[in-house]
Amino acid sequence: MVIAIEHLTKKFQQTTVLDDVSVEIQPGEFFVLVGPSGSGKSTLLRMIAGLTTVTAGQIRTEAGDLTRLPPKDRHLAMVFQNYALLPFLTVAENVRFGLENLGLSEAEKTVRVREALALVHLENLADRRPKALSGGQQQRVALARALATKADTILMDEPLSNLDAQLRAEMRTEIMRLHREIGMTLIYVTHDQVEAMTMGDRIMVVEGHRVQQVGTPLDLYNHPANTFVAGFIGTPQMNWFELTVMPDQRHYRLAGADTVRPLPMPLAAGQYRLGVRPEHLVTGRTRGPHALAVTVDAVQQLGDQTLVFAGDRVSATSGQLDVFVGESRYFTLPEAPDHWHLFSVATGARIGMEAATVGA
Amino acid sequence: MIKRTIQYSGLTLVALLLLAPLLVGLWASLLPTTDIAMGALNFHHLSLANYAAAIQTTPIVRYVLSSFVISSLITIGQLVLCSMAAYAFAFIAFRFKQAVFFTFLVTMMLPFEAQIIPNFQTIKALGWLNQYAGMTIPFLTSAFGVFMLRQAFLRVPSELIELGHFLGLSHGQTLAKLVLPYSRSMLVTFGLYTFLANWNQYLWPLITTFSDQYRPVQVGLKQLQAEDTFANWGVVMATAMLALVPTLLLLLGGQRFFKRNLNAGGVKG
Amino acid sequence: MELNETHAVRRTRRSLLAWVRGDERVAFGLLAPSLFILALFTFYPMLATLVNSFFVTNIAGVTTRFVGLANYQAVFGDPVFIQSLTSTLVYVLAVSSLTVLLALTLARLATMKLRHIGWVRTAFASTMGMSAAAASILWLFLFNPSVGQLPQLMQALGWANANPLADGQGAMVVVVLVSVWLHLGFAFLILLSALQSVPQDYYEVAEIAGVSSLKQTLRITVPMVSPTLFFLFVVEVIASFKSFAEIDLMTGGGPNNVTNLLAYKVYLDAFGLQKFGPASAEAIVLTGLIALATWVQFRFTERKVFYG
Repeated sequence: MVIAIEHLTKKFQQTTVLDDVSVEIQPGEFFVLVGPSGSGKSTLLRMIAGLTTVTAGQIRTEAGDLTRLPPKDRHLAMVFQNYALLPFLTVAENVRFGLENLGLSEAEKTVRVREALALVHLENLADRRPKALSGGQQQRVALARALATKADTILMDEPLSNLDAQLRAEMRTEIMRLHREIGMTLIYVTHDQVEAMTMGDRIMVVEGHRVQQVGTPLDLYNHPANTFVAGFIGTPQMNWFELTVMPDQRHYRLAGADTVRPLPMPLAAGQYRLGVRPEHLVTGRTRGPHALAVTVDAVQQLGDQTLVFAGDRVSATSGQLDVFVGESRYFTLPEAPDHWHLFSVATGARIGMEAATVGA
Repeated sequence: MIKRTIQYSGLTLVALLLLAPLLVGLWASLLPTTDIAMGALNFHHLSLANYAAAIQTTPIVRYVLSSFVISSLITIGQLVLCSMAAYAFAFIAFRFKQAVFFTFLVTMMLPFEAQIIPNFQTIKALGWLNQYAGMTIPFLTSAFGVFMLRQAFLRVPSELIELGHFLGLSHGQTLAKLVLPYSRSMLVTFGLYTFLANWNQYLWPLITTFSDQYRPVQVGLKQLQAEDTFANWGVVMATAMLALVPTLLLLLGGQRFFKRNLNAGGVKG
Repeated sequence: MELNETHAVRRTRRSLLAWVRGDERVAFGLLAPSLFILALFTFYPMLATLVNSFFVTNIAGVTTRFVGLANYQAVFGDPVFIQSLTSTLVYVLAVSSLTVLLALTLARLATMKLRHIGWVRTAFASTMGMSAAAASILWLFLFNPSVGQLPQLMQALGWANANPLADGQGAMVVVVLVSVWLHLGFAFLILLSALQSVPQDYYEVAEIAGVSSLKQTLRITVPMVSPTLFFLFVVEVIASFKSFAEIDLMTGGGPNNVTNLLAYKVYLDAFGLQKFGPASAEAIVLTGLIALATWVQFRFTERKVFYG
């Protein structure tokens, strides 16, 4: 079912926790809400779940308006951050607990519990208590509890944040596999942009109690809507330059540099913030029209690529580059206009090439 | 080595000193009165005769049964009513919550010993004198129990309560399926405490019971003291030992458990 | 994660527990039985006692005439009451301080690192949960002038009076002794757990420095557990004000009212002498003393709950 969120707002007395969110989540979509702590992403999820009341706006599906319905009437399942397993019940009983008020027959419940445990490969631990399980196994129980309900939408609130890196990677794959096999809608909250990028069909970036951008992972990477998204998505982070385009619309000057350089494409005169992805900032020995002289501060040889750090900028080059700390090099801005991410200095909003280019 | 011996002897001596009244009482309960009267506390005549005599010639069994009925009813009542009230305080927002909470708090400052006159008149007016009702109903709840259980309930992770809410559990289901099972050990501790505290009640049954049929065991001991049997020390000690059975069971069996929760739970607040 | 959430979000979480307005009825439904019982058997009788203390009552306890503070004047003008009040304060202070002191000593002994210390602890805690009535019977036997072991022992040691319960001071000493013994188990357990939470390093450092055991107790244990000591003292004060069964069974308030403690006098005046007005006034005095102690406990100790 399509979940349509319209102008959803949450206020707490004077504080706005979430401001005017609208989005449509498609059936079967893996939809990720990502943002830093306190951005409001969890509040959005909890409003969808019905755990937090809505101040204004609506949540609808084809079935009707959910906004004021109690959680159980929304036909959702949820995986909690700390798993919310009942310590006094066994694994199987915990899964069964999620079926409590669904009006299923006992026989049906038993079948569902068995199936759900099979899906997460926990059949053998059905009679254990949560305490006897590892963190990853506890996470699987929580997943099984959600799966057993056969809800066509599952909400997940930072489900992997309590796991170590290796388990996190493993569970990431596991959740993606389950999503592929079962095809339910997943609404997934995380603060980890890598998790968002690797898992999501679509990502909503939330920051400062507002939606910054909604789009596919590559949308966000290639066309960040503002400086926040540009900086938040991608590791290493975007490089930033302050840029002045001359009145002739053909030349620019970087802040702190005297040189006036030719633009790769004509732009309206004025101030810009320019973002360049590390892989588009080329490290080299030769001085070209877009080159900046730098002294290398640090080098990270990752094998498949080399990261070169200078000041607060970083360049990523495929393969292994022969470069050492303290050497002088040139960082060269890209020639391709697509690799120039221009933002308004005043608002941080993206300035589309169509808007900025003149007389092409 | 010598230091160890001194330490152990010292500790044993202190322990024996503290246990002495109990041990002497137990010993005496196993001896014929004639031996006791002569101060001959040797072990030639050890027997359970005093216990047999106590059971046959005194209403001690009746007393113990009454105490058992009364303490059990009160314990069940407090577990139910205090859990209910504690749940409301822990998990539901309602108007005047602070005021109501304060009301409960205040009752802990008011000694029962100062309320006996009107309470006696109330029970009398209700026709509950010398009845189980009069000895149980006034004690079916306690502010202390409400506080202690509220503390325990607040330790239930809020995520579990949310889960219950998310699954559409009613308050009753949340209490029965989540909160109570989660707080099991505190409930057991509180139940034991309540049972024992009421087993040991003295003043209230003293003024509200008049017949052996309903008289609980603590007041029964006084009754036996007042009667001729008191000269028969062996039998008296046997009855006292019977009155102490729940206490001793707790001491030997449940103490570890009791202590752990005493520390983890209510007392630290 | 949750720790980093902003204030507003954290508040959202907590407010979740508030659920909806309709729940108010559930809340009051859950509270109603307890409130009803407390109203009927705690608040009403307290209020009625207060009202009665300003009235003259007939034999049946029915208030007949408003007399203002006359009952209080009569009570405070009565040497028996003054005796009772003095005895009560002596008894309460003696029992509370001795219990705390001895319990601390026992707790120090029971934290020695020895095998089988568990048995010692069980023995030390043995009076926990014991009924005052049964305890009184045990001690009555020990002090019985004809068959008890203690008078024989005392005589053997050259004590002139072998029946302490028959003389005033002796009776008070015995009652204090029995009460302390009775309270010791609980107090010991509380202090034992407090002591166990004192880091062992302190003692080890002191041990290496050659500090004596007594000095360790005074310099390390007492300061570390002083909040517990204070808490325990107040709890003991409150419990001692309520002592009843020991008095009723062992001395009946005698000899010469020396052990006629306040709680017992309220009972005697009301149910023995049918003097409901003065008994109510005495009950109010008792309430005031206990409420004061409880208030001190709530106000000055971190622990909000006690085992009474």
